Amino acid sequence: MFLKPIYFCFISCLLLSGSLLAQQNKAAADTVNMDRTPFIRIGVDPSRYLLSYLQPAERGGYEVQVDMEIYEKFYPVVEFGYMFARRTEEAYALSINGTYARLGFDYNLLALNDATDRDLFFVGWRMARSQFVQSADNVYYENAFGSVTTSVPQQALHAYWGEVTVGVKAEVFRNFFVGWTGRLKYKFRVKEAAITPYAIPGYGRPTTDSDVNADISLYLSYSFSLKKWQ
Amino acid sequence: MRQKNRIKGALKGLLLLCFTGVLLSSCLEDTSCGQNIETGMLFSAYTVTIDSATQERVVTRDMSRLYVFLQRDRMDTLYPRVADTLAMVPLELTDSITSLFFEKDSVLNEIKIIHTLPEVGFVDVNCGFVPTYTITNGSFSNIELDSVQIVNPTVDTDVFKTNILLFY
Repeated sequence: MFLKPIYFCFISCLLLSGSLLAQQNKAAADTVNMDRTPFIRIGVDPSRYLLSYLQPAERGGYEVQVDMEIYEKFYPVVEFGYMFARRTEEAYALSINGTYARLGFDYNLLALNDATDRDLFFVGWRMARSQFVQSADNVYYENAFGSVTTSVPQQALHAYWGEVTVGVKAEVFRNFFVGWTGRLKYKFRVKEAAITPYAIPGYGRPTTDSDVNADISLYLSYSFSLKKWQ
Repeated sequence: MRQKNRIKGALKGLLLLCFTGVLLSSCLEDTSCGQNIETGMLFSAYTVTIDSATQERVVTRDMSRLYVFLQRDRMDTLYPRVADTLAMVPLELTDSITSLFFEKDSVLNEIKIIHTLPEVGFVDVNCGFVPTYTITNGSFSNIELDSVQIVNPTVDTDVFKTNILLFY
């Protein structure tokens, strides 16, 4: 139920973007051999802060994305972040915090309009790893024999997953970009844990019935021109 | 250039669509435990008779007139749950031996279940935590109770997995 709107959004974006792409590529079909200035683009995801106000868990963190064009239309991407979450219920309090990093490539599907055009409509992939700790306290349960309050000590965990991405980066002011990245994630491995992780930083909430997850990152980015290599 | 601006406008529209999707999906989180999750040891009771004609053993599932008590004085009745064929009883939370008194046809038998201390199992954020056990051994007073068989030592929230069989 939770993932359905995101899957819907992800697929809608792919379909809508396909028609836009055809239109744009036709318009810029004659653009070739442009002398481009290399640049690096650094972005942050503000939604990591906004989500803390929309979910029952006390949750926060940050995410930074860095990309640059190394070859025509190929953008290596590094993303890293930190996430913490604490969920307090009547019968338990669950804490998790950790870091994550993603490494991959984006391929720009848009034809360039001119040498300064840095807009992107991309598809790409990522390999990701998260390292985190999880613990639980005030765990309470009862039955006919009585009740017990116990805790689960902190356990260090890690997880690996891969992502297929699609997204947009549009220059709304000079050098200032707004964009999103839709992610379809496939979980490869999560270290065996005493308790199933409530959330994996960078991956999201794992479910027992599926290794697939999806979400969207939003980015506000700024690009810096680099000197041309001699 | 006009073409590019038009495309940029459309891309920004998509951005807005996705942002709305994120906000909506964030608000759709389930907040209640939709099922009754409880840890219990599941058992079935059988009566063993000899067929007078063929002289063969006939084993029949028989959960009728079966009650379970926490104490020998039969003051604290546990109401075994789960239909006619299977019943559920809890295990001790702070001890590794659970004594239960099974009454069938007014005959009382004490069954001692030896198990691990409960380990914490996480169901999900809405249902929280439950204890889980592993049965290691057991003993019983054999007043009309022929035998007790451990068929599945893992005691958790699975309501389809019988843990012990009682043969009267």
